[in-house]
Amino acid sequence: MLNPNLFPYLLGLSAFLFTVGATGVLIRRNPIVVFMCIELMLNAANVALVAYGRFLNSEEGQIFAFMVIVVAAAEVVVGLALITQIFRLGRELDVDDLSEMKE
Amino acid sequence: MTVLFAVVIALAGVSSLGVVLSRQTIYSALSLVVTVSMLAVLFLLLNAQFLFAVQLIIYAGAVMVLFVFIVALLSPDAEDRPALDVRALIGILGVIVVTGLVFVAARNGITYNTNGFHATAVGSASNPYHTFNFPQDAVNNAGNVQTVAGQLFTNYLLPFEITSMLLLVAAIGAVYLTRRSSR
Amino acid sequence: MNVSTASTLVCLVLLFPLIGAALNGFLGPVLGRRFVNIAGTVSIFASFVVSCLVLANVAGAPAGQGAITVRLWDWINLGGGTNLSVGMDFTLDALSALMLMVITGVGFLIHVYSVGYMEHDEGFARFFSYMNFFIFSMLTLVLAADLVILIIGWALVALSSYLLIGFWHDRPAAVAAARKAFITQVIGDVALVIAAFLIVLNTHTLSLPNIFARTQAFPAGGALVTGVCVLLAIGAFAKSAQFPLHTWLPDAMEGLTPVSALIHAATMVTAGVYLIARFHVLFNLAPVAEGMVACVGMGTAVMAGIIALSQIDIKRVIAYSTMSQIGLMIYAVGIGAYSAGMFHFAMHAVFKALLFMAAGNVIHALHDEQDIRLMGGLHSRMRWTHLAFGAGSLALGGFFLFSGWFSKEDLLGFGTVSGPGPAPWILYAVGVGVNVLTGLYAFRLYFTVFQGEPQTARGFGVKESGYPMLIPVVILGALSVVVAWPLQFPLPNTVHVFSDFLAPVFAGPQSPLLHDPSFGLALVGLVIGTAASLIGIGLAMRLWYEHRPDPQVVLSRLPRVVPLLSYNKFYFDEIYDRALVQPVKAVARTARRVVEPDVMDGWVEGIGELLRGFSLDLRLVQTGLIRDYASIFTVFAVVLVVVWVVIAR
Repeated sequence: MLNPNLFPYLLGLSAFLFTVGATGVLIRRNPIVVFMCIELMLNAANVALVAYGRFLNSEEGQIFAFMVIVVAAAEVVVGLALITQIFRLGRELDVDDLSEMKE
Repeated sequence: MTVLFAVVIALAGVSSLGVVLSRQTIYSALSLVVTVSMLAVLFLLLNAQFLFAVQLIIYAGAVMVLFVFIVALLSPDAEDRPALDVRALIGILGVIVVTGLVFVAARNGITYNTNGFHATAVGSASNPYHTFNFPQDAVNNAGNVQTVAGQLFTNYLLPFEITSMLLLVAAIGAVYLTRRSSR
Repeated sequence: MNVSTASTLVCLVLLFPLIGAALNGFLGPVLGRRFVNIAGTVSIFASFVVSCLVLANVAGAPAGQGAITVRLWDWINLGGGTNLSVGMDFTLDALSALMLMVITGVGFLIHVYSVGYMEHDEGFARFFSYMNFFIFSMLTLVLAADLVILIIGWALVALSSYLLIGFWHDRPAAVAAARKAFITQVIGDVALVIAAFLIVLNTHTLSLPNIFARTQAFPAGGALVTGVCVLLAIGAFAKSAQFPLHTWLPDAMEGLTPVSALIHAATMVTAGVYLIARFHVLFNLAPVAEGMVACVGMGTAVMAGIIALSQIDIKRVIAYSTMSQIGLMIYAVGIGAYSAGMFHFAMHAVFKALLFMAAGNVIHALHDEQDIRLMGGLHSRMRWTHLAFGAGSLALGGFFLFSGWFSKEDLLGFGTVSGPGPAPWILYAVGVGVNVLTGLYAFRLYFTVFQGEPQTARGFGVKESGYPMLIPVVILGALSVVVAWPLQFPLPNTVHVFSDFLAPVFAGPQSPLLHDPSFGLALVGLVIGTAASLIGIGLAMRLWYEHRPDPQVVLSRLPRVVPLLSYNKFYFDEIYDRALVQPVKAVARTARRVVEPDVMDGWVEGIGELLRGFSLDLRLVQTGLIRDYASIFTVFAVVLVVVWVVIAR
């Protein structure tokens, strides 16, 4: 049915998306964009899960991916609420500026 | 079939680059929408119909909309030039190294057996992808949603309920966090 | 004597002084002077009674059964297979019976004397506690049948001597003397312990009877047994104040007179002689070591004699006399005449303790005057002390029929047959010379202190001492005349009770015991020795009693070197100071000035500086920027993936 040689490409895509998202977290300064890159990473994980699920003939892959999506949604909600508050307080939307974790 | 896969994978890759490298915030958001949609199609192609629907509805339909709204609200024309310093180097290195390694590893058939890791050459007798006998695809033949739901509401009931709780908490939290503090 | 009797006797004889020490130490200050006096003296008297019982048992036992070793309990049990278990082993044989009698007998009399001596001192409880503890330690030492117990007793004796010499701890001279004594004896302790290691290494046992049975481990005359014996000898020299570890004894006279009498005349300083006698089995296998011991003994005897001729402190004269006499004892055990050496030990204990205590009487009567040039004319004013001192001096000088004569002539008699070659004859000749010297200095002391006229105003008003201080002196004075009569006559085939009594101890397959000299030889030796002693006494009489010629004239005729060397104790203290003490002090000074601030503090602070610098650098990581933290995560995540893949391959 499905060409088994596809699997490496799917895993490769997952790895690619993940690392690209990680790079985005590293180099972008707008917190909203950073968040989007985080979502990208979560999606990468989902791809890997579904690929494994498909090739191991198990529905657990999809179930787990489902949970991931739910969690991602919840996290986005809370995170964007925080960003909104930061904006409302008049602070710059710049992760370098939001560096209260110093020392 | 393979062509379809190739196109989808390629488009997903390109749009993910767009997320990271776009100058304008709004373009990043839109690129992310494209990526997510491509992934949904990928899920469909992998016979994960339920997840295809979920991805489109929730991810593309809700999460990304939220993102776009926030971008529009907070800083519609925000410009954010990606900083190209040592961190960018780390990132690029990471992309190349990890993708390459994972691809090569998967090619050589790192098994998903819990007995340990073995690498075998593609095409050898022990390569799982060649000898793996895909039985009658019970998962797919019986209808995807049905099968998934069957597991979700029996074996995985507890995670299901907990994630519902999680959503509730997140919603309340968001409402609380965005209160006007002058009250 | 069976095991249970022996065990009981051993327990009792050790326990009485220990209980006395504890009682006096803890309850003494509370319960008062009378209690302390009684407890201190009765405990030793009880030990004396037990010692008499031991003697009776040993002497009365059928032949071959006189010696018994009992184990009171297992102390350190190292389990099966090893021979290194330490038990509380004690031996009761003729040698230990003799030591017991002397230690507890003379010790008891000295304790009685101390009652009077400490009459006006506030620290009486502490004193008697220390004295009892000393007796206990000394008894442990002489009864021990296990190397570890022996060493423990040895060390406890050194400790007791330190406590007793430094008893008046607010006197810097006393404290310094105590320290000097202790440090010198530690040198001996080290030698003893090393010897013990070597013995255990080769015989695989700590028990003395077993060691003496396993002499095949020591090839006769070999380097091993010679080394062991030399080390044992060094230990003995330190304890017995022989050259070169003798410098502590004269300084120890800073201590109280009873302490000098007990420790530095009768008991502790003779521990070295006992050690060599006890280990005679090993010494018999090492003629080289024995020769060295004999030489050191005789050398010390003559050196101490010369020094004693010029000392002006009454106690120091007696101290050097002790050193000299012990030199003779060491010489005796060095040539193999063990019972002769022990005989002299016993006689010497009697008259030397007597001399010290009598000197104490004199000092006390003259209100702490110790310079003999300021004494004189006491013969009529302190009759009993004078008589006793005279008897002691005659014994010391080896006058005909006094106890010292018997022992010294016995000893020297063996010197005539002590071996081939010229060396033993040289030593014998020196021994005869020592007889002359002994007579000289002993009677110099007697005539200067007791005869003539008082030199100070105080001297005219002296009174005899009180009873506690007088009676022991008189008793010992009487003993120093008669005690030898039934025991030993220095000619073969005459009275030999003493040496017969000790013979089983020193007999055995390995001992090339000196045979008695032939009658003719012994008689000649006896005459020569006696003549030498009489010459010494007579010379002293002419010089210091009749004052013709005047001693000052004689002195000026001698080459300047002799009196100088004599008075300055052959400069040993100065030599040791320059060679040993000053370098050590210089090292300490350097350490304090250079090593401590620069090296030590430098390291400590350096480590602190290092850590400080490190932490300052590390601090830079905490930039507060999310992106930096994320970079670190990424790097490590990549590393993890790489590692995983590589391992999976």
